[in-house]
Amino acid sequence: MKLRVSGQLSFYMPGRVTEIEVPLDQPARLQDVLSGLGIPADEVYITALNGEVVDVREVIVRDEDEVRLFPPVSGG
Amino acid sequence: MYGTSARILRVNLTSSEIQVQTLSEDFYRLYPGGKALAGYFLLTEMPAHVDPFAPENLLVFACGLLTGAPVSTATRYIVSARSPLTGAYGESEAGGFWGPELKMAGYEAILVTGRAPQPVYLWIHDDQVEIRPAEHLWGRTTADVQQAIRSELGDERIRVLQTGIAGENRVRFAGITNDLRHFNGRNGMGAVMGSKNLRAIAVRGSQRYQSLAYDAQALLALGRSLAKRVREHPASWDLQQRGTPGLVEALNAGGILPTRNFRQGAFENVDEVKWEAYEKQLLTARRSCYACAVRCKREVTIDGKMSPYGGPEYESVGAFGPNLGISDLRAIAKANELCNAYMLDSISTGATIAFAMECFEHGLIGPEDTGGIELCFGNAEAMLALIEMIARREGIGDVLAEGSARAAEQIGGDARYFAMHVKGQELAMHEPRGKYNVGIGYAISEIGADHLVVTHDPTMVNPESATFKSVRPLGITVPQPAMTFSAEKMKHFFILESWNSLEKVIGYCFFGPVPRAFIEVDEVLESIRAASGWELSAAEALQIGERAINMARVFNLREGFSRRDDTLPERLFQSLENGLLEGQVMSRQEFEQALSILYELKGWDVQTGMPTRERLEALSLGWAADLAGIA
Repeated sequence: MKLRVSGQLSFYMPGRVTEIEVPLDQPARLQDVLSGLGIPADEVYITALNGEVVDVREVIVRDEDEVRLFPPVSGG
Repeated sequence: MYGTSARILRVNLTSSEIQVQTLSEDFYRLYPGGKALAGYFLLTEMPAHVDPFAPENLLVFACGLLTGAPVSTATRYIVSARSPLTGAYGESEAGGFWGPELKMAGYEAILVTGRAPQPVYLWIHDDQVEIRPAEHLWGRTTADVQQAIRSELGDERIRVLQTGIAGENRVRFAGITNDLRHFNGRNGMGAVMGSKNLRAIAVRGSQRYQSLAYDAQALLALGRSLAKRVREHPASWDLQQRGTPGLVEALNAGGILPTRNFRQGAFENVDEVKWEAYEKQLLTARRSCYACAVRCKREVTIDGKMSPYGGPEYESVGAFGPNLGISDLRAIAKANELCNAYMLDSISTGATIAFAMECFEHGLIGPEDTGGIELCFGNAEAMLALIEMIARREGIGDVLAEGSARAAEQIGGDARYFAMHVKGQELAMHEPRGKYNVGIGYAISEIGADHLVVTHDPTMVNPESATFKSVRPLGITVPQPAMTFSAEKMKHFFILESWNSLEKVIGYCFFGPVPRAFIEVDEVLESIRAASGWELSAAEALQIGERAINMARVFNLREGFSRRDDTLPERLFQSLENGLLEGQVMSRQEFEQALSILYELKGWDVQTGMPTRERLEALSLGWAADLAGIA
């Protein structure tokens, strides 16, 4: 699975990068995948699975998927 | 008294009189700097209905209790006057180095009245204060003027605050810069400087904040601890890495990136203007304000040359990029540079050009009005040409220099519909249709549309998020969706507005305290204690912020403003054309109901929007009720 994050969410990524490949042997709950990476789902505002907005807590992901995460943004 | 010299410098440019006044602790405790001092002096020392360009307009530069303290983000100062853009209470804040330098020179604030017969600048070196001729500086770029002042005074460490050619020409959204990279952009405060023939204020101070502090050791310890935390906190780490331009991509994903004069919420060419493109094409270095570990400022190279003005912030990227349909990042950076060289507010400049482009698109103005310029969305050359014309008030630039609201009156027809402003000030680059409290903030703000009235709604949605948990000590306990107008949401607004107002009083940046960033509520209170010796509760601190808001509100009521001015452009009650929120509508009826709830929370009359005497007296502002004739 390709995971891309925006803004402050890269703080939680391994090496603080914005994009990583996460190999998935079988379908998995996104929330579990994120938890394994140390990314708190509570800090995610918008989740897009292959371009469609989904609920970070509900969605199941597969190895061929692309997931993008966006944080809440508060101006400035 | 601690944390302040309590000294006010009064300068009358008509008579060349200079005086120093010392404030009492009882007074300063009610009005401990910034927005509070400005509101007090504007109300008590200026009669109603003074023309913003008249010598009688009082121009206030005010530090806060903590401005210049050795604590990250405590760098801010306020510039205030009756605004030539809105006719209301005017205010614009900035960080940088000038505010701390003024404090170190031994002054909390400067009050400027009158008009110099010839261009002048003010030179403040501790107790030495001098009005100096500035004819040789008039008509020159801000970079030129800063260098000229430092050269003639023989000190490269002098901090120079100034307006520019736009201020000289009384462009109604001309701003003020310090150190060329920090901006009091909004509300036309630079035009007020220009109207007074005051080009600059140069300052050099030799004190240290620690000598003012009640508990200097505690303040230093707190400052060191916070500086370390910057890299360990996601939001402040992100501001350090990317600065505000890092916001572009997430706003676009949320469908709340203002695009083509707020018609759309997503920009098809966002990849060309987002942070990764900025980093690749423009970025050369990161810089900071005085003693701030966040370091959110960017340095950029444009056309192969290092810009002396720093790089565009998110607001400038938004205003000259997606909101004009422009994806040429170098042109966006150039537009920002021109604004800073001439000292135009980049938000109002971009938004006013967006207005003009939509008028052009609808045939309300044509090539015969623009000097042949095809003023279409996406035309970067037209944008750059128009900035020059606005700053110099040439051709249609003279009409647009009045701001979009006045320009719409001159152009006539449906032009008014395309002017995206509140109380005459153009909207910042934040889309209220995806964050309703930002809409309430635009509407109710005493300075016209402003994006720093409250922390934006998406951070208050998830009860388990770090941002939501951080404001529980302020009394926010029930999370709310971003797109709702509930009574609980108005409670969020009431508390966060007072909290953010407190920041503007005592000198903190929006990027310091929670919930936007990393300084916890108890640490803000501890910084106040270590600076002043005052042991405040969170409720007492919030009341300082609320008091400042109410003074500005009374100022506006005296100028004839009322509830009918707390509104939003009609477009914001219609659906966005694209993006995640396409087709969704914010209800005007629900918006008005929410305003009524908020007025009641604030102790304001629901019909008129006027603060009640009871509330003003509870805030120790009975004198303001007397002054405004509130029964």
